[in-house]
Amino acid sequence: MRTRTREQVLDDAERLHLLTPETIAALELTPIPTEAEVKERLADYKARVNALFDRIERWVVENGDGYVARRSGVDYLFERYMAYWELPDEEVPLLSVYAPDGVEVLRFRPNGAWVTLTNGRVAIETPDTPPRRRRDLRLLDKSEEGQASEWVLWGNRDSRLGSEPFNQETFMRLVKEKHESL
Amino acid sequence: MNRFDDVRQSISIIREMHSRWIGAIASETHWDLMQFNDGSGYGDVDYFAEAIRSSADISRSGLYLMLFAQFEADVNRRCANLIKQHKDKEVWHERRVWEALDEKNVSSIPFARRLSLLINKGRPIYAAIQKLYLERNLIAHGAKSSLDVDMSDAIETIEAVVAAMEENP
Repeated sequence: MRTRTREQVLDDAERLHLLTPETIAALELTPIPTEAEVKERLADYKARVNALFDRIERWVVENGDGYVARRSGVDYLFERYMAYWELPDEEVPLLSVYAPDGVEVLRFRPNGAWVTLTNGRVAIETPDTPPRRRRDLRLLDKSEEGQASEWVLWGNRDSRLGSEPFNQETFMRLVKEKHESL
Repeated sequence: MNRFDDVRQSISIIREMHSRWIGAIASETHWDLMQFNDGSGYGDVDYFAEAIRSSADISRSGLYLMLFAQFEADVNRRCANLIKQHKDKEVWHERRVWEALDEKNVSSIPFARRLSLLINKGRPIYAAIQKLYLERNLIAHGAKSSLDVDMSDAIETIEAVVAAMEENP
């Protein structure tokens, strides 16, 4: 799920190039991360995503209902700070959860290393999710920087449903709900 | 009564707009347009769809600015009241620090300082709201056009700050 086109990302990076340290200070803007910081953030994000996927795979095995979870491909991340430092696209893994009958129920797609107040975001899609619903289900890592991940599940775009911690229980409930609705 | 006098009410209006209008209609239109694209290469459907997608992006950023503006207005109101209240004290020792602040022009005080008058600086939400403020500045000053904040998450954080401000009037 890439909600922004490459041109839009490059356009934003170009605007960032126009900022000087003085304007950043005067306008109280977010300082632009250095190239090393950007790379570090990407590495950290990928490590968090991989740890999350490992955990999900473990949950599925522990649950033993015949569901299967495995890495099912890759996607490519390209965000404004990467464009700013002219870094190449970053490969991120996808994880799919399959029902006992082999139907794909959920697909986890990492789609944001820079989401303010979080350590990253992972979108959750079902194979029949139309583009307009791709923002609905998502995980946000609400941990402090440098701390262990605390993934939080946001129900859908209607934020009144609120958020809940993402654990084995909420995960299995989500899988079964989605499986039934397919 | 101006419905924006109550910050909680305006937050709930913005949340409603975000979930029903920006989230739904903008991207739904985009989706419908994609259905017309049969790959024949006729017309500017892709271009049009792209324009609508960017406009959804811009609407989201605009709504975020609106959310922050309402919150900031509330911070300013509370700040002005607090300064006024302390300046009115009879004993000079109690009011001398407060006299350095101008309650008629609170927006000249840096946002972080205004906020520190209202909520405890040591709390995690104090740091969180400052990050949201930097994000707001990037958009408000034209450094970027799209939002890097999860809107629901931002609304939840701002509501927590409003609650914290209400705890310590």
